[in-house]
Order: sequence, then C-alpha cells, then structure tokens
Amino acid sequence: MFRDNEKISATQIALILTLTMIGTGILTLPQSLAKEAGADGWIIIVVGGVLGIALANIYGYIVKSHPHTKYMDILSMHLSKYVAYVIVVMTIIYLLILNGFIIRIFGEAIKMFLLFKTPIELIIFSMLLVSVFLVRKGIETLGRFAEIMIPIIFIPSLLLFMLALQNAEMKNLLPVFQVSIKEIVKAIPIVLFSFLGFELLFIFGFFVNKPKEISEPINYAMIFVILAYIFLNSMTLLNFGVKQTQHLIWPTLSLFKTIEIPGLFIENVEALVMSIWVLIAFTTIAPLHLATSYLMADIVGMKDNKLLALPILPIIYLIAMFSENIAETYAHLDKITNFLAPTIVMIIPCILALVIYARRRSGREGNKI
Amino acid sequence: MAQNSNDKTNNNRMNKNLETNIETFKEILKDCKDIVYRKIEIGKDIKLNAAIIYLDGMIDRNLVNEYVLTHLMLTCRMTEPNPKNRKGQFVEQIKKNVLAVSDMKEVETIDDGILNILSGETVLLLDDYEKIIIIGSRGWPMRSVSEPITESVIRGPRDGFTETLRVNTALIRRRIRDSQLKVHAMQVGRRSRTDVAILYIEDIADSGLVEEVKKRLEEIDVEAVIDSGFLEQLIEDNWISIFPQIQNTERADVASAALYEGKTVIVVDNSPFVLIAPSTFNAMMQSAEDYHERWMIATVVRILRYFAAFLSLLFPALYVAITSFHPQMLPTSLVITLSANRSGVPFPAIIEALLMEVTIELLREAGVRLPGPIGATIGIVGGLVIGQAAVEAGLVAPLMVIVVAVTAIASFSIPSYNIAIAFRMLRFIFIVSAGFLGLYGIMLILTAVLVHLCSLKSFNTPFLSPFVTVAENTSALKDTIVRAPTKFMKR
Repeated sequence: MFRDNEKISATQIALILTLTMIGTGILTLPQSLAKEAGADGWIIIVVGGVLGIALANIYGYIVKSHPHTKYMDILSMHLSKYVAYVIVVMTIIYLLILNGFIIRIFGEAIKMFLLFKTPIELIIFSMLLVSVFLVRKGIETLGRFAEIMIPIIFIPSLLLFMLALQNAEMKNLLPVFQVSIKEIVKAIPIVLFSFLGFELLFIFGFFVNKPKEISEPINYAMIFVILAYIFLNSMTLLNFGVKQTQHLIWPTLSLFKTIEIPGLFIENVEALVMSIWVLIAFTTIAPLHLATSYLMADIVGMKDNKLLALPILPIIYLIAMFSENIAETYAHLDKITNFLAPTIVMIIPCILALVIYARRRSGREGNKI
Repeated sequence: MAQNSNDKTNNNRMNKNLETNIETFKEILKDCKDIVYRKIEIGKDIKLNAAIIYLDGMIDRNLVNEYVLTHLMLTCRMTEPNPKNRKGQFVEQIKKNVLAVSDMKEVETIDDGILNILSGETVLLLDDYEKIIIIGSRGWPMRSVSEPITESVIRGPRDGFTETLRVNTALIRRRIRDSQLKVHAMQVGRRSRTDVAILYIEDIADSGLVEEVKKRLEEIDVEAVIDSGFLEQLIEDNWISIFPQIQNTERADVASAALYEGKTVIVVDNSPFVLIAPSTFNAMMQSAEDYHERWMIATVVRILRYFAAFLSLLFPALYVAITSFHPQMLPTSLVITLSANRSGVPFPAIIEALLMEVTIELLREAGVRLPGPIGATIGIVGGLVIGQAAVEAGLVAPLMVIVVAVTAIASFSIPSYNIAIAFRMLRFIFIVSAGFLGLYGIMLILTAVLVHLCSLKSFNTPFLSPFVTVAENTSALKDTIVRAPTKFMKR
C-alpha cells in the first residue's frame, strides 16, 4: 500500500501522540521533578504543559494551513529546499537518537525487573523486530493500534495505581508553593522531555483525513497527558515522599513493586506491570521508528517507506548500545533534551509558523494565494 | 464439455433441422451416458417432431412425465393446430397452452442449452424451430433442512442451510420480507459453473461494498469451486494471515441478522456454509444465541468467551513463563507446591508444555476423524488415561495437565471454529516465545499479533472494528464485549 492511500482520523493521531508522549516521560519524570522542585512538581508539569499546548497549537496551525502536505514539502515551500534538507536530516538524527535511548532505558528496565539473566542485546533487538513489523504495516495500522491500546494500557494502570494508594501518606504532598520562578524555568527542559513525541504531528499530519478538525483532539491529548503526569507524580510522592523519590532511578516501577495483594492468585504484580510497560514502551518506540522511516523515504525520494523499516533497525540498535550503562544513557539523553530537542521541537516550528503567518497575511492583502 | 469451448463458433447457433440439432448435442455431450434423449411426436394430424434432453438424476421425473410429456403427446391432440400457420402459432400454442410448467424460458444458443441441461433443466427441441425451450425441472435428492451441527444453540431457530442454493436463499427470504433484499446470481468456475448468489439489502448495505464483492467474485478464475470455503480463500483480503477475514455460518438466522447489519451474504451452491462479508473479530466471537437471551446473560457469556479466548491463547505460555522465569509472581505456598510437583520432571517447562499440547492436538484431530461414539472414547482415553499416565511416569507435572485441559476446554468455547484454530496455532508460538523470553516474550508476540490484527481488513472494514473505530462510531460498542439491552440497540 502506498502512502497516499493511507488515512487516519484526527482522533487517531491524537491517540498516537498521547501514547508516544506518555512512553517518554512515565519512567523518570517523578524523579527529576522531585530533584528540581520537591513537592511542587505538579506546578512545573502545569507550566510545561501550558507551554506544550501552545506549541501543539502552533504545530496544529502549520498542519492545518498545509493539509495533505509532507513536512519536507512544507519546509521547502517556505524555507527553501536546502534548509528543508538540513532540517529533515536533523530531525531524522534526533528521532534516531531519541528512539535509541528510549529503547535502551526500556531494555534496562526489563532486565532489572523481569528478565534478570537475559542479555540486554536480545531484549532490545527483539523489541525492535516487532517495531519493524508495525512500521511495515504503515500508519493506518498504527492508528488502529493506538485506539485499541488506550483501554488496554490505561484501565489496568488505573487499577494498579488504586492498589498503590494503600501505602499513601497525604503529608508527602506538602509543602506546596515552595518553588521559585527561576527553578520553574530551569526545570522546563525536563518536562519538555516528557512531552517529546509531539513533534511527530508534523510527520503524521500528512495522513490525517480531515486536518481542519485536528485542533480539538490534540488539545484534549495534551490535557490528558498533563493530567496523567500530575497523577503519576502525585502517586509517586504519596508513596515515597520527596527524599526517597529523588534516589530512585525509576520511581514509577518501584511504586508498583510496593503493591501487595495478599490472597490473590497473583501475589506480586510487578511482572504484570512490566507487561503493561512493554506495551507503553512499544507505543513510543514504534511511532518514532515509523516517523523516521517516513522522513528517510522523503529524503531519498522513495515512494514506499516499508523497505526502510529494517535498515533503520541496526542504526537504532547501535545508538541504543552506544552508552556503557544506564547512567551514561541518561547523561547523553540530557544533552539531547537540552540542545537538539528544543531546536527541533520549539525553534524550527516557531520560525516556520511565523513565516507561514507572514506570507498568509501578505498574501491576503495582495492576491490570494 | 471441453469441446464446448473449442467448437464455440460452429456450434453456437441452432439449426433448423431437429436431427442436426440433436446430433450437435450428442457430439458435444459425447460419452456422457447419463444424458437422456427422448424423441416424440406432437400433434394429431400434422406430426411435429420434437425431442427432450435431460440429465438423468438431476431432474424431477414426475414433472417431466406428467406435465411435459403427457401434455405434449396426449393432451396436445385435443387442440387443433392450424396447419397453415404451423411455424408461428403451433409453437406458440405449445408454449402457451400445452406445457403445464411454471418455470419456462427460451435460449438461442446450444451452449446455453447445454449449460441448462447440466444444471438439471430439461431441454425441449422442436423441429423447424431455432430456439431451445428450457423447462425448469431441477430436482435431485437433497438433504432436508436440519439443525446445524457446528453452531448449535439452546434457544433459537433450528433450521440450518442445506446443500441447495435455492433452499438456502428461501430460508433467508423467509426472514426478510423486503423487496430491498436483492439476490444477485452469478456462476463461478470455468468447469464447475457453480451457482453463487450475493444477497444484500440494498438500502442498508453500502453500494461500494456490494460492488467490491461482485468485483472480487467476477475476478475469480478457477476450474471449479467445490465449497464456499474454497471461494472464501479466493476473495479474502489477506491470504497470508492466520486469521479468517470472512465469517461462515450454517445458520439462517445469523445470515439474516448480518444482512440487516448491512453486510453481504454469499451463498454457494453445494455448500451448507454461507459466507458473510465483511466480517470482524467481534462478529466471530458472537453466537446467535446472544440476541435471544436476556442482555445480562448474554453479556456475562460474552465476557466469559473473551476470557476463554485469552486462556486458549496464553494459558500454557503463561505457565511456561511463570515456572521458568517469574515464580515470584505466585503466592509463596503455590510456588512451593509447584516446585515440588515439578521436581521429578526431567524437562524444562517449555518441552513439557509442547509435549502435552501436541498430544492434545493429536487427540483432537483423531477425535474429529473417527465416527461419533469412537471419537468420544478417544477423548476419554486420551484425556484421562494419557494425562494420568504421563504424570505417574514423571514426564509432566500434574499442574501442566490441568493447564492443558483447561486450555482445550477454553478453545472449544470460542464460537467460530476458524478463530479457534488460529488461536490454537498461535498458542504454540506463544509457548516457544515464553520459553525463551518469559513474560516479555509473550508480550512481544502479543503486540505483534495485535499489530497484525489491526492491519487486517475485511472488504475495507477494519477487522477489529468497532474496537478500533471508537472515535467515529462509539455506539457500535454496544454490541461487543457487552451486549446492551435490546431496547437500546438500534436496528
């Protein structure tokens, strides 16, 4: 099936983006927030989220003003062809690196909680193979997959969080409003990382059947993710308190480790949580992989992105295995979130939106384009 | 019949001479000893030579003898044909006043005539007349309408389809007294010329869908169609998939309900299984009974069925994963029992599971092939004796026997045999993946299966709808895992 025949609905793209975002932030957000802002992490999430919503609407504006146009074509239309090439290559590199690190973190977590003796290479490689399988099926499949994943992921997660409440201490959420504005600004990159995945809207926007209706679902998706993160953050703090959260690598997973359901068939829900975690990670890794393949196909001038699914695998794999250990992975990831991500996620889209806006205005005043 | 196509240009038209025509028929139908040629004379004063040709065993002999031959040979003499206008009026008279049959038509070419003979019609040839009169006389021994074996219900109608197309379409017609129910007839198979009927309700079914079904059926180019299962494989979307994308049913009420839902039903002659296209996973997990029972019962049964599907797919794999990778998941006392159980077993859990699963698949296959009572015996012998013996011989753990048994029972609870068999095959993949990567392996394969299911389409309908079209059509969820009260289901 060629790309031009593939269509997803505005809701489906919002769901894809929701799942992609959740996957990047869910593991580490509470820990980084606890480090930066103590019990006031939710304020940073809200501030970051508002920024995210603003960005999302800028993206939405770009996609809406050029319906059914590829990202690269939009770029070359407004910023000349060479600039477009540079930006797309940068975006590809960024997506590959991001994906590589995410899958590394995923693999480490699986190894730590589920498969203690299995080599991490095998864990990462097998996951990527399944991702290739999805990429070869295309965006339509991903859209449907996202729809079916929402209940499968969120209903059990919610139940598990409810179970985690048994150890909750309300006073862990206090004191509030201790964080200063300076600290908020400093912490924004961390929150921004948790919202990464949203930039895929550019690449997937091409496939939306009714681009005009895209704003509403996207805003809902953002609000949903903000609420989910606030919920996650509060749950972690309720259980562990600020001090302990700061010292956990993956507070979210540790949170579930504390759950005990005596008398039930499954005594230890950790393995169950890890199973859901596989799905959450997959819904982040596969969209990134798919987006990379689409952009690569554009650069090379291929009509069909299917063939690129497999060649991308070794690249992501090598990036994933690049770091020696998990601490190094996080160090590398910080560099991305501090430099490459803001450029691609914030600066370029804003410039692009400004150019489009300016051209439209001048066009409206003169002849209509 | 092969000559039929070779000599098409020569033999296509009828000759004026009766004898020549009969010779042509005999030439084409050479060495077909079951064709009967019967020459007769019609009329009292002027004798008009005529002949009937039919396929022995395919016609209703009573009808031909009493209402065709008797009338042509005897009753005909009572009327007085006008010799002067013999050519025009006499034939008209025979058609209008003599042949006392309800279904009669004329064809012009010998090819058509032969096709009609082979379909069980009787052909009447008249001297000096260039058309072939076809007398509808199909009638052959057929199975009467009986209770469907594969989809039995406790409550609901008990009439199932038979091997005869007309009976099947009539069974559906009886449930839909609507002029909008269209029956589009066609023939598939170069040699078998199997009758195929596409049924749809015109103002409910999407016209694009109907066109697509017709197009795919017309594109089929095969020698013969033996059964609807054969046809199904030729028109389905993805032949590489493990999952069926077209539903089949033996039940007239299921087919009618599908028609009311805007689907098309394909009836194939000689097959008691009609096809429903498009079909979805959801539809295949339903049973006709769900609509006849009260909604709460139906909902609970459906949840049970999805649970059965889950067990049938994953239970042995979970056993393997938990015993070899994640024993900490289970309550401590159970872990102790389990390891005590398994202490004498020489194999790893994956070998144990594969061994038992293969055994039970063998038993099942053997049970299907053997006649009824012996089949049941095989089940008991296999299930009890082999299971017990395997445990005592120390080959498998007792818990494994329970797992395998529950899995087998669960897989029988899935209403659609097609889906159940797909699950059976996938189960082995899951066991292997669990043996290598534990729960993680299971989740990976499960993800892959879900991705594959999401990519499947049946005649442009996503196979997993309405689960994957929630945003567009939320109300369709009323008839999925939950069966909403009949009051709230718009039909």
